[in-house]
Amino acid sequence: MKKIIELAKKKGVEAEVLMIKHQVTNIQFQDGKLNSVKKNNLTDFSLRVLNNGKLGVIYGSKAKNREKLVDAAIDLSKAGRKVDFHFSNHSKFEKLKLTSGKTKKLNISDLKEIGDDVKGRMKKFMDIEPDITISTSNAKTSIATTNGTNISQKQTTFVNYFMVKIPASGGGIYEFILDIKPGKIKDKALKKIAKEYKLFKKSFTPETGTLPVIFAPNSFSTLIYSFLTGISGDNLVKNISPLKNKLNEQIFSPKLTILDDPLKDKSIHSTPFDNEGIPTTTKYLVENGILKSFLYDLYTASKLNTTSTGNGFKYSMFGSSISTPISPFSNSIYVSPGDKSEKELISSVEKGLYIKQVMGFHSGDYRQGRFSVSVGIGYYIEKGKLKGRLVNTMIAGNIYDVLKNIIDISKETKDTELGKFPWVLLEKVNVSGK
Amino acid sequence: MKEKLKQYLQNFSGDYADILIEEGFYTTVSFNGKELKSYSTYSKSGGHVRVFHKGGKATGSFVDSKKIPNLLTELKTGSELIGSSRQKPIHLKAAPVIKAKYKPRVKIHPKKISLTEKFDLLKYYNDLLLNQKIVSMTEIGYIELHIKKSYFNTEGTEIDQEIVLVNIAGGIYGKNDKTTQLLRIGIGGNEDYNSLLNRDDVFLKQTRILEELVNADPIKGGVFPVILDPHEAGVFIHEAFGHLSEADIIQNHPTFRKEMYMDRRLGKPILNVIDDGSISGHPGSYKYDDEGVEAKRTYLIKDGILSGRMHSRETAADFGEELSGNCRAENYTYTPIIRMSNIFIDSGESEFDDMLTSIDNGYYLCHAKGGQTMGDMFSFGAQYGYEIKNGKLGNMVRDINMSGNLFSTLESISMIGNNITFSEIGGCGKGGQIMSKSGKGAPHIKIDNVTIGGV
Repeated sequence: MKKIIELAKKKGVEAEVLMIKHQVTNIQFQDGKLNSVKKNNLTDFSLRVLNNGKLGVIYGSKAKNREKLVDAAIDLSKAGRKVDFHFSNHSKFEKLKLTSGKTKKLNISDLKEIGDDVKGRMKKFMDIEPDITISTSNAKTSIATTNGTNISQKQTTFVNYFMVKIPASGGGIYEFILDIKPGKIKDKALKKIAKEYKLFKKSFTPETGTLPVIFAPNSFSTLIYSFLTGISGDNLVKNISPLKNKLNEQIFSPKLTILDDPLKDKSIHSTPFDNEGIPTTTKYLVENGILKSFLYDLYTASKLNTTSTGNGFKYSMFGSSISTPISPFSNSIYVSPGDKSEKELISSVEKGLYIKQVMGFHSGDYRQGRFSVSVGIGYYIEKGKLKGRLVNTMIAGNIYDVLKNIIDISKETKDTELGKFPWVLLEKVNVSGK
Repeated sequence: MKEKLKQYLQNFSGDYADILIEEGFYTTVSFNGKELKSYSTYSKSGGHVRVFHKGGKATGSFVDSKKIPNLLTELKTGSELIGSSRQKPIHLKAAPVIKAKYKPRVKIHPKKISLTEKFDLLKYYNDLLLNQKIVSMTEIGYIELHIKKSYFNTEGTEIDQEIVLVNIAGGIYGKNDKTTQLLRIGIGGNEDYNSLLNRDDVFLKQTRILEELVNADPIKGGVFPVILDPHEAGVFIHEAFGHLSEADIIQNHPTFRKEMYMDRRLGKPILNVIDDGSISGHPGSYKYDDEGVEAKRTYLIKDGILSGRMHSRETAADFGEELSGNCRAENYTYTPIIRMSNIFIDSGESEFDDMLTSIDNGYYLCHAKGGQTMGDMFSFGAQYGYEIKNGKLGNMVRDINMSGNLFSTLESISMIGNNITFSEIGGCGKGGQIMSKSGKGAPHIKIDNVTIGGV
């Protein structure tokens, strides 16, 4: 990295190198049987140069023949995108501990043991062959620029994903640990899965109309993903965001508060800098329903005469890699909990839906807040009780309508890929069924 | 390099191993409206190793080929651990030993065209779109991948092959005071740069539809008979049926394995569904898959009856069925899994007008917008559609997504058109891998009952 930066300096261009080293060990049980082992040892890099205000970008797996790389990036910059920003010059970053020695030490036999243990304990509650994935990763992300930024962060990840398949469905009921350190799925959670499994004996299709709906953390995070595209500088620049000019306006129910917090120590959702070497920031996105902040990377901030919020990430809904362009994003979203329990939420519903997983979200126009999705895993609620599995059921609406009418938010929250989310009860959502 | 890899395999003392190495060259140019968004060429290289030993399986990806001997040893140990814990060992079905080199034959290979020329072509189409009054924003990109793969296994198979794909794809936005609407657009989806030239008509047609779409009303939810256009029917068969025909999806799923038994009736005798990687010119066309098995035509449904399945060598052995050449990976960082090549519904005999007149109250749904499956449940969108009232096309509708159960929906396909069309742009996500080389096609089809989401 150092050499590339020096070469760029010599050639009189601004440069930024992002390097990601990634080791993964993963084992899978399918239908109770140990099925595969995977070990990856990969590196990726991206080199961006700024030459006369134009950007040249190159990606790759191995940064060999550095001189040629820098020349190629400079060559591309000649016809490249005109931009009005400079690469990071930050040198002060929050110090976060995001690794665990325990995770690093785990070998394949240890992972197998963890899987065997949870499989064995499940037998106490039901006789079933689960699907289990145990995975550890050890990553190092480094960024250096010709403007003086030179930072790296190590991160370990431990995943223990446990799923019981639903007969006659491709889906299942799952529980997982997603953390920097190894963790155990507790007996209590396994017992809950066994109880929930019984709901699948009966199927329900509600009448077409409107009903109250409880969104479980995973399905609620899908709705919030839609909101994240609304506050993305990218869609503001394109002038397609429904939230343009809505800063400090009431956009959701006063019950909803959404925080972007990438700086929690020891959290899997944390990172002290984004993929452009800009320090990340903790901020309210929505406070009591009022829109408080947009998300910017260097490019979108420069287009809108503001500064980057440290949200420039290589993220795409359809799989992210080193060649994914930078855009504003966050996966350190924390939705503030309410004061009722999940159970109380359910028992307060006379007739409604409880939705855990939705399908077909990406087919809809989510950037406009619109959703029209089918219920993947969900239950029918009658008289405050979960009655059975929902089939042939779709829900549709716009998050900027339905999230204005939140009845309650649970006090419990759960990790998802986007951050930590509670259960949320919405007053009425359009349902297509019978 | 190749000699070294062969040496590694010769020295390997386990039951079976294979190595796939690839060097990929990628080009992307894209615009957001008038702004150039990306302009980049890059190369990524690395490889993937699989070991099947003592009834187990272990795989790994690498960038540094010096690490292969170590990786082989580690994977051998891992595989043994898997094998020792299983009652039923994992095996590979015997496959022909192949020694081959393959390059796709094309009129204009994209590597012969300069980056400037590619930029100019994309800019030409982008300007064409932006010059239409209705278009408020474009997101459009030129994507080219050119991958050189070498594959070796301990049985003696050695294959060098080139994978090439070019397309221009993206979306256009139109807005008025009520709504902002997005319509997708795409050409190419094969090896030939020639397929990108002189395609103004495709882009202009979409802008005319966009004009109608911003003034359309949202669709009303409920259960309706529908006609799907070929693009939509292609996505339907890919999502609803195709995934359950991938043997690795049902291999360890006892219920579906039981349900998807050979010779089961799935639809009316008019229904024929085929997966075929050996036909050229479509997104999912290729010669050999990533375990050295040749692509071929597989009848998945013949005369309404389940008659074949897509396999890897591992699943073909497990199911005791024929090899189909469907085991592929997005790139070297992933382990190959079973992927559709070009899946399509074969032509039937119905005229479009007869389909229309058979419907009193329903919809004609057009142009796919992605989909998702969860076992026997599927969901997919349409970019626009039309009401059908008393056998006639009515107003355009928007915001369309539908869902259903595979088995009951296949049964309710009651008419199949006589003119098959393949979609130019393919692509499919499975197990975290986005496979752009996956194609689909169909004629118009009529389905008697579909649940449509709506407000």
